[in-house]
Amino acid sequence: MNERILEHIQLAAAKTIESMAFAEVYPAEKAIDYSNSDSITVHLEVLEPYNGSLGMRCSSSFITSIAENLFALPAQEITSKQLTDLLNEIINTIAGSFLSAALPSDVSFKLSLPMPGLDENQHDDLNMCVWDFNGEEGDFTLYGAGELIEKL
Amino acid sequence: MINSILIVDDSDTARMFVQRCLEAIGFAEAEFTTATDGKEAITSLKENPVDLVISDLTMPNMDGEQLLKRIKSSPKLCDIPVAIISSAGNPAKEIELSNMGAVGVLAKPFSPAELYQLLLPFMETQ
Repeated sequence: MNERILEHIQLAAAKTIESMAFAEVYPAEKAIDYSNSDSITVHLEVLEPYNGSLGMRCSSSFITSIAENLFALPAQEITSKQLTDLLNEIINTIAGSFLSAALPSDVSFKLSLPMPGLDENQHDDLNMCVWDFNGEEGDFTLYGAGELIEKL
Repeated sequence: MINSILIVDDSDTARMFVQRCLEAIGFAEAEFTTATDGKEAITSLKENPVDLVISDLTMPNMDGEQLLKRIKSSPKLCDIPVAIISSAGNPAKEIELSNMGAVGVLAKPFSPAELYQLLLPFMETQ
């Protein structure tokens, strides 16, 4: 894996979760297994300067915990719309932070709006990258694929 | 003195996050109003001018840049300080927004400390 991309995505993830949730995150030593928990996914497409996608998977408890702190509401009062909005904001912020760091400063980028689920084309992509994170609020995984990963 | 703040962003989460940061850095007693895009912000400001506007850059209907332009060209609103929040690192755009009159441009993700630094000149009389 490209060490530079790894460093940038790790920093983007850490900065985003730490600023939004005041919780530390760090790269996981082993792949996260979501088979025993409810998980929620989101992705967005990178449109310029390269095509690609960035996605995120986390447990429902992870995103709910962050939402409880942010909205100052107990879990049972948090709506699925609020959880979706929060996850969208997180992936959008991680993507923006990652690309701002990974691209030259004179190159701008364009992102799609976040969409539910993961990019279906990602799993066929031999260059797909998977980055797992552990954190105080729980674990999550980021996915990157496409020309974006090849060219950065 | 900042007693009222308008937060403009199409994301509930982002608006809540900005408000939480503002409360954490000394604006807990301020009156907060919100808008989901620039058009709604202008309508709100016409009826209820505030002491500070914090706006996202990328929004549907009217984005943060257009909102800034509208505010700075209005005799009634032009003295309201406007800070822009951007999720796209674009130094050229940041310079452009500053030249248009934004008091600062913050890149997401930002911390309460970074927001504090940006708004410090307006807090010295809080």
